[in-house]
Parts: sequence; structure tokens; C-alpha cells
Amino acid sequence: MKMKKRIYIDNIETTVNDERNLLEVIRAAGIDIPTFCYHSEISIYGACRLCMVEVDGKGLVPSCSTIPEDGMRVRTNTAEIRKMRKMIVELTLASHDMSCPTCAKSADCKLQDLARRMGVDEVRFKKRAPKKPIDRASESLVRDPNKCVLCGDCVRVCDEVQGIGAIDFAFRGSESTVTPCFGKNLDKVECVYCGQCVRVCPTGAILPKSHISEVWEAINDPELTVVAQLAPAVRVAIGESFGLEPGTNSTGQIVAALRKMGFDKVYDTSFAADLTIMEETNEFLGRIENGNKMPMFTSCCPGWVKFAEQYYPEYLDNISTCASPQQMFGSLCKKTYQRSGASSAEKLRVVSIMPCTAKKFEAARPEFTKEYGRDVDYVLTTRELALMIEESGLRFPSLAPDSFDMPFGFKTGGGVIFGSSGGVTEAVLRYAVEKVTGETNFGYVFESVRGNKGIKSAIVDLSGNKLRFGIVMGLGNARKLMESIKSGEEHYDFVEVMACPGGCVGGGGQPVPENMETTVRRSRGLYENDRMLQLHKSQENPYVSELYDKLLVSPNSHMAHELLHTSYKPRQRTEGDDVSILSGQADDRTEITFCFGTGCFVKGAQELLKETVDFIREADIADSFDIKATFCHENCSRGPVVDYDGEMIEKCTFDKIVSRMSAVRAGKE
Amino acid sequence: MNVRNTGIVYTQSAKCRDCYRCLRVCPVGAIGIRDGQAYIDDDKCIKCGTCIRECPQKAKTYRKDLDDARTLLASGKVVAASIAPSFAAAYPGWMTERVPSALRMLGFSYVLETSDGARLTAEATVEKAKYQKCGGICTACPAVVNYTEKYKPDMIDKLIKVVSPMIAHARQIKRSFGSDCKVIFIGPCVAKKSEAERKEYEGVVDVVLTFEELDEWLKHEKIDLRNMPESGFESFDGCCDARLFPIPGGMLRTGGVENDGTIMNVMHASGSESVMEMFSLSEENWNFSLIEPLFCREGCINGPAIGTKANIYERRNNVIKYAARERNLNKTIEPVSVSLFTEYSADPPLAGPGYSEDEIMEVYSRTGKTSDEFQLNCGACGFSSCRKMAIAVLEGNAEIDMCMPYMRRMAESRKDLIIETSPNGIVILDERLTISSMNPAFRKNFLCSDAVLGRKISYLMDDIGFEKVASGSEEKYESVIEFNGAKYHQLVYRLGDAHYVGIFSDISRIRLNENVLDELRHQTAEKAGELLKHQLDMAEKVAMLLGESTAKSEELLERLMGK
Repeated sequence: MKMKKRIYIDNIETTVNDERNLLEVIRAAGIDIPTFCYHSEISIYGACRLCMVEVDGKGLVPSCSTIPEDGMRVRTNTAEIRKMRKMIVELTLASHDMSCPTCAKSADCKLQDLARRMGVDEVRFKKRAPKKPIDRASESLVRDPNKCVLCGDCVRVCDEVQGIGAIDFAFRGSESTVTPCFGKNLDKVECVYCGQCVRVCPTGAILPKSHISEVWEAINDPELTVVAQLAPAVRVAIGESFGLEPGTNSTGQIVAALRKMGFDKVYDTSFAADLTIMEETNEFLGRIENGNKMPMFTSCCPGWVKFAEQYYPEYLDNISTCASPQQMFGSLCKKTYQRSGASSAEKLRVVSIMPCTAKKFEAARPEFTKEYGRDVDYVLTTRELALMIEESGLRFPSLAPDSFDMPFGFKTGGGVIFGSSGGVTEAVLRYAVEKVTGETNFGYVFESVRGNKGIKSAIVDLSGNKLRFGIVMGLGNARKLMESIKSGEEHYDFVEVMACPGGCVGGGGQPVPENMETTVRRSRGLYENDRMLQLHKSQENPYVSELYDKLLVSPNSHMAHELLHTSYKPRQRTEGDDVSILSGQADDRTEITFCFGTGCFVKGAQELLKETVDFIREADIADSFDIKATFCHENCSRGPVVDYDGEMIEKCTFDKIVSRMSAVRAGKE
Repeated sequence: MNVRNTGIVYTQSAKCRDCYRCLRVCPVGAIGIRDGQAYIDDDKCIKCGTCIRECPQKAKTYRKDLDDARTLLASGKVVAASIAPSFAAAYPGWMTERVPSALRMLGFSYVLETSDGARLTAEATVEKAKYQKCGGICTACPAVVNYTEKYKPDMIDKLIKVVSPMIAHARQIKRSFGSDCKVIFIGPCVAKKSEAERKEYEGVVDVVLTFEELDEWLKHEKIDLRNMPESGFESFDGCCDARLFPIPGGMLRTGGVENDGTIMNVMHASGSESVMEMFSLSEENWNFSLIEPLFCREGCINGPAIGTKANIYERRNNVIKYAARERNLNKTIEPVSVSLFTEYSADPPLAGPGYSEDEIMEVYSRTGKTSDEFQLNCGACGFSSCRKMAIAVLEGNAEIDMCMPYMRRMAESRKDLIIETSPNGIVILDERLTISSMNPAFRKNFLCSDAVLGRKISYLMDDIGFEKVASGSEEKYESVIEFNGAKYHQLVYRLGDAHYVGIFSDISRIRLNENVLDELRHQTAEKAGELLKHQLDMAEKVAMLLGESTAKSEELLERLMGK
């Protein structure tokens, strides 16, 4: 057996287990070395320098990027190290706007915490940079560059975990800033609003867009009926904001708090999740029966839906037309209140409480805005709700539990596990097995679709039909899976995608977790919750059955489609004006626009542009052309796509452009 | 089910302080005292649990079966919980909807309400009663059944031969989920533990737990109802009225029998006194067609192991509220039919050896009760009559010093005796230093009669010692005085707030060296002082303390008198 390495941390002998770097070893030994830029699930960056330690024979090294060696002697707390850390924090504060009392991140802020821990009591450096504009343009996120400490955590999580890269460093030296491309706001770029950047940001530089004041206003308006819907993942995480262990089920306290805060009714999004399962499973089985294109992708994650619209438009037909549980709930709630006369849809406000920042974007999608307004009016994240509870002065952990209102407060375990990666698939299976085999007496646990792996696969035999289920968490993994499907390397019948690590439990609106273990414990909390319920299969929800009897007729009926289904459309990653490459002077100019969308780009759009521009210049006809680059002609599968004076040339080549030019010239002459 | 050495209800001897309360409250006289400890005769005990509820020392307890329950669940078998309807009283308000979640968290595969079974029992009972010619006693309460079988053999035929809700429900569960499915009943009742062990019910209910045991289990597993999601039960028919079973009249209501308390032949009775009164009704006066007896006052919601201290009527309201609630979270399962009939038979009579009048009289004579006027039948000993106590003494289940009037007489007579027989002169003064009482030795030595009562002490002697103690300048005063040619050692001290005591020991004839004399003086004075103080206090103390004080005075007396 290989001997384990041993090192000495502050003269105490420590064994190196499977830690990947010195920082992890030191932390495992119980010393909390401060960091800004270190996250175990993303790459090591070594930018913040806070984790510097002194190693005998090596001097000061960043512990995050140092491999522990046998016999290494490490000191973590010398006078020099302390002085340096303090200086780093002081310098960081000098370029930070220090608006702590009014910052939503206050008390959760790593910078604030480190300033306190390092004993920074004065910032001796004057601020030089002018205040940068705050980006409030998106529905989901607010970016305040004045609070950014340039740790790059958001950049790396967006690129490495989510495979998007919506934000990156721009400019150099003291001008450095983290920004979406071309300095645009987040609403005009490929950001899917998953909020993983919020989860890793050590300061308040990226935060969910708050709906707190709008919700208070609605509650305080006596004209309005305000109802809440509570997403499953919230109940196992909000307790962390009040000192409870991750995974603790606080449903009763949340319901009690919402009532005390003035909500008229409190419902469970899990009810709508049960309904989603009815619709989605029937759609899935229908697709198999009709021999439709497979796989079918789930549609409950708005981050994934936008991701697919941007990057995989050719698969949009494969995405379930089911609206997400949040939207199903909103639509259904407004419809039934209107029908029963409980409240007009105009006077009803639906507030959803979600672990997710992208749900704010989803609620604002035009597809979910009807003649009476939005189906879901406001979306609060878990942290926003925690803030409202604090604001109300309620002592959360000691609140006597209260119960949901009926009928939309009744759910089965299938609707609860929705919040965990694999949960939707499992809930679908609990229905599909019964529906296909006619068997009702089977266990409700499908262990093969559970677990914390980025990509999971399971084969389930449904009456001789071996179906492949794929389960993905994290959009980076989704991209991998999509590429393998595209290349034909993998085949699936059903694919569940959740944009966040762990599923909704790891959402960007949740309390900031200490580590991935937190997410696992929240997930466990949901499965426990399932176990404790009397019903586990969505099809057994009596109130869902009643809803079909009274309103929806049957799954995928006309009425169900009207209320519960939606559609998708290809989406430009980056909106806004085209980028001008070359502008001619002649009066009669030809406009050629090259698509620079990802699909076209990887298929050689840039080379094509360069060749074309070179050719025009060489031929000295540049004055007769306006050459532009644009982001997406939304025809990605047939790229590169070039708009030649209004005519789309698909699978364009240099030869095609030249022959087009010749043809036009010939035509003119 | 494991066979154990102890009975279902027993005394934890370390905690028993022989207050006899259990003896007084036991409705069937199953408790006696042996070696100063309450002892339950398992053959006589009907497991009603009254003593458990009443014992101020919490020394009465019952057999805990939590280990059996844990083992069963750990075995990986499918286990169902059948929870008695009084759970709505034990876990009121928001807790009610969280109990099923907690039970599933403990590992139960199915969680059901016993009220499902109660409905079957009620319907069968009403049906059966129609054909029972001598008038029917409902048999849902196992303590009532135990009582009848042990003490009312003549009434056996009046018991309606229908199983209790617990048995009916457990049979439903096993029929529905398969005979491999184990059933754990959880309720407020201790007698259910004995019912489950009846031979004819073997293999029906696997473990009986109480709500107290459930609380302990949840606590041990760190399951907090607060953090349980609301959930429902698996249910055969949605219970409803049957959820009223644990309150008096609930069974009749479930069975659809009109019962407003004014109907001649239908009645409900609760509490041991009412139930036993009902049982003592003469045959010619017995005109009931249906009677619902519950041995605990106000029904099962007052069961000895309910685990709540809430006001009994608050508990009742919680049960009614739960039965009436509209929220239905239950999962409906297909109803199944099960056998509901059973047999009841009288236990062999508990024949004691029988004692002659002479033997009983002998016990009386030991407690000074030979004449009727001393047989008070006060019940302070825990037995309802002096005769019963005397028999218990003969049986070895009681001790004569349990008789309070006897002990009091003993104590008082000794107090008098000590003072009267003391060779030392003792005088007691009031706050004005006038003489309020004295003993014969004082009269003799100081040559006075009762005429001096009410006079100042200075009338008899120099009162400097008393003045000093009364003024507070000295706590205790000692000196040697001479009177009528004799030398006395005088000791004066304060007794309580308003009395002063003087003790005068004749030392003129004692020829001992000074050291021995000092020692003797000191001891005598101290003992006498202690004794007097003690006795004055004692006179004011309640009968409860008599045993202890008697023992103490006896010891002191013996030492003083040099026995």
C-alpha cells in the first residue's frame, strides 16, 4: 500500500488524504485560510493571493495552487502573512464602493467577513475610478461592477461549469472589469440567468433582482388577492439562513411565515409539479407511440430552455411543450380563481418562491403574459424570502408550523423530488411504469436516476421497450450530452436537464452554500420529504384528478394545452446592432452580413469573413460594400450563414460569395 | 411477543416513598405494601393504569416495548403503524398532520389510523347487540374487559363478543398488506399491552407502544415534528366519526346509536367509579341494550400514557376538531373485511386463603382497634376499610404501621409520656415570660401547683436567664441555681417565636468529677432541648410525617431513658 504523504502545518503533523492542493489540506486540518477565488468545483485561478502560506525552502506560495509534498513544512499565520492578507483586503476595499449597509449581500459577504477577520479598520487609499453604471436590465440579475473584486469566480463558473461564458474580463490593469461582451447589459447576451455567478460571487457584485418591495406593495394593497406558491427546493434550504442544518425541512415554518406576512393563500408548487408529470409523461409516451423524434427534453428549467433556444435551436421540437410547474401554477391559479369568482385574474397576484434566479426571467417571458397580465407576477428567491421574514421580525425556527391551503397545497412525493437532479425523471417513471404496464403495485424508488453525478444514464424496461433516460445537471454537462447526441454517439429517449449543480436545490437563489455537500444534504431532505408523504406517485394526487375531471378533461387535452403548455423559438445569443467591419463610400453598396453565432463561428465564419474582406480590398471594390458581423441568423444547423443583400446563403463558402458577386455584377452589367 | 418476569404494570422500587396513594386509587385493590414498597399483584391487576397516572413519585410504570419496536423495524420487515384516534389529543393542532410523517421517518411502511378499525368494531357491536338478549356492554376498552373477567364473572355474558378497534384494525392491515406485514399499535393505553397478548389474538398485533414511548423514540431519533411535512394516512375509509371513539359516547355515535344521556337503555360511562357503579347494578335493574364503558375518566384521551398534561376538555375539543376537519390528506386504500368476533370468559377466581375472625381480631388488637369506635375506615392506609387492611396484613400485603390513626395515637402518647416521665423539671413560658405549662418533676422540685400557670416566672425564681434569652442578648442560657437546698443545672432557650423553655436538672446528688459533669450536663441539656423542640413541631405537622417523627422520638426517648 502506498504511504500517505505527511506534512507539517504550523508544526503539527498532518496526513494528506485525497485533497488536491495544499489549501484543501490546511482547511481539512481545521484552519480556515481565507480565499476569494477558490471554489472546489471550478478551476484554480490563484488571483486573490489571500491563501498565501510560507513553505520551508520555497517562501511564500499560494496554497490553492501548490501540491502538498511529503515532509513539507507549512506556516499559515506568520506576521508577514497576516500583514499581507490585511493589505490585500485593504487594497480590495479601496476599489470597492463599500456601501455595505445598503447592500443586499451584507452579512453574507465574504469581503465584509474578511475585512472583519483581518481587522481592517481603515482604508488608506483614495478611490480613483469613477463609478461604473449598474446593470439592472435583465429580469433576473443585477450586476454592480463597483462591488467587483475581480476574483473571476463568476467568469469561471459561467464558462467551466455552465459552458456559457456570458461574462469575462475586459480591459487591462486598473481598467480591468468583468463584463458581458461589447459592454452590453445581461439582457442582451447569452446569459441564461441560472445565477451560479451569484452563488460564487464573494461580494454583492452580482445579485438576484429583488422583487421584495413589489411583493410588499401587493400584500398591502387591499384590492388585491395575493397568493404564494412554494417551490420544493426552498423548503430544504431556507433554514440555513436562520442557522438550521442544510436539508432541514422547514415547510411548516415557511407557510406560517407567509401567512403572518399577509399572503391570502399559500400553495405548493409541487402540486403543479404533479400536474406537470401528468402532462409531460403523457406527452412522452405519445411521442414514443407516434414515432416522433427522440429524445424528449424536459422543460421545467428556464435556464436550460434559454440555453437550448440559443445553442440548440434544431432541438427545440424535442423539448416538452409543458410549461414549467411555476408557470402551470400561475396560469391554473388565475384561471380557477377567475372561474370560481374568488378573484378576478386582474386582481390576483401570484408570487412564486423559487430557488432560482432564472424563474424571474421565465415569469417575464411573453409566452406567459396574457390579456390579464402575467401568469406569475413576482418571483422571490429563497434568500429574498429569508430577508422578508427577517424584515417582518418573525423568529423563523420557532414558528409553529402551518399547513398549505387546499387544493393546490396537496402534493405527492413525485412533485417534491422535482427540486433534485433526477427527480423529474423519477416522477415520470413512477407514472410511466403504471401507465404502460398497468401495474400499480411497484416500489416508488428508482435508485438508478438518483445521485450527484453530472451526467447519469438509466435504462428502464417498459413492457419490453427498453428506454434510455439521461439526467444532466449543469449546463456544461448539458452541452457535452447534446454534442454526444448530435454526433450520434449517444441515444436517449428522455433527457432531464437542470442547469444548476445538484438541480434546483443548488439554484442561484438559494442561501450561499458552504460547499457541494450542502447541496447533497438539501437533496437528501427532499427525498426524505417524499418518503414521509402518504402518496408518492403524481397520478395518485386526488386533487390533480379532480382538476382533470372539472376543468382539464384529460392530459394534453385542448384545455390543458391552452393553460399548461408553451412553445419555444430560436434566440439570438447577443442582441443588438450588427458590428460594422467595413463601410464603403459608394452610393450603391452591397450589404453582406456574416453570422458570428457560435454555430457559424465554429464552422468557419471568421475565416470566411477574412477571405471576403481580403478579396474585396485586393480587388479594390471595398467602396461598394458594407460588411457587417451579426449574432445569429437563427439558422445554426446550416451555417455558416451569410446575408447577401437580403438573400440568405446557407452553408456558405468563399466560392459561393464570389460566385454571388459575379452573378450580381453580371446582372448589373 | 417476549415473555417477561415483571407484570405489565409495576413499581420502580427505588422511587416508591410509601405514600399509599396507589393503594387508595387502585380500583380493584391490586396493590399492597411489602417491605415498605408498593407492590402490584399481577393476577389482581386489570392494567387500567390508574396508579401510573396517580403516583406522585412516578414510581408506577409499565413495561416498555420500544426495543421490540426498534428491532422489528430494523429487521427490514414491512411494518405498519396503527395509531389510536386519541393521537389528536396527544398531538394537537399543527402536530396532528405531522405525526404520519414522523412515523414514516421512523421507518414505518404504512401509517394508519386505528379509527378505521373502530368503525368496523362499532358497526359490529351495534349489530351484535341487537341479538344479545341480556343487554350489551361494549368491549373496546380492555380494562373493562379485564375487570369483568376478573371480578364480575356474572356479567361475562353481557360483554358483546366483538374485538376491539385495535384488533379489528390490525386484522384489516394484515389482510390488506399481507400477513408478513407487522403491526405496531400506538395509543394512550397500558391495558392494550395485555389485550395484544391474549392467546386468541396471537400474531395479530406485534408490538403495543404508548404515546409516551413514541415521544421517547422520536426524541432518540432526533425527529422534530416541527420539521416534518404535513401528510396523511393510508386509510381504508376515511374514519370521520370513528375518530370520536376516544371520548365518551364516541363509539355509540360511530355506530349510529342515538345517545344524548337521557335514553333509558343506552348509556355511556367513563371513569372507574362510574363503570364499577354500573357493574354493580342489580340484575333486576339492568335494562341496558347498549352501554359504552370506558375505564378512564373522560375516555381514552385520559389514558395513563397519553403523554400530555393539557386540560382534559381541551383534549376532547382537539379530538372533535380533528374528526370534523375537512382537510383530507389521506391515501385511500381498498377496504377489506375481517373477522370481528371473539369470546370472553371469566378468569379463575382469585381465592385467598381466607382468615378467621380471630386472626383479623389479632391484627386489630395490634393496631388498637379492637373496639368498633377505633375502626375509622378512613382509608388513609390505602385500603377502603380497616377490615380489608387487616386481611392485607395477614396476606403480607400491608404493614400495621400503615394505619395513620394508630400511628398518631402512638406518637402523641409518647410525647406526653416523655414530658410526664422526665426526671428533669421542664417549664414552658410564653412571650411575656408567664408560665404556660410544666411537668410533674418541675412541680415537685419547685413546690408549686397549677396555680402558678399564667404567673410570671419571676414569681418562682430569678428570671435573669429567661430575660437574657427573651431580649435576644443570649441564645441559650446555662447556669446552676439553688432552690430549696437542691442544686439545679438550669438551661433556658427559645422555642419557636413565642415560647421559652427552662429545663432544670437536679445535680446536687451527683458526685462526679467536673469533666464528666460538664459532659453530662451538656448532653442532657441538648437532648432535652432537641426533644422538646421536636415535639412541639410535631404536634403541628400533618399525619403524613407521623411515621418518621415517631421513629425519631422513640429513639430519643430510649436514649434519654437509658433503655
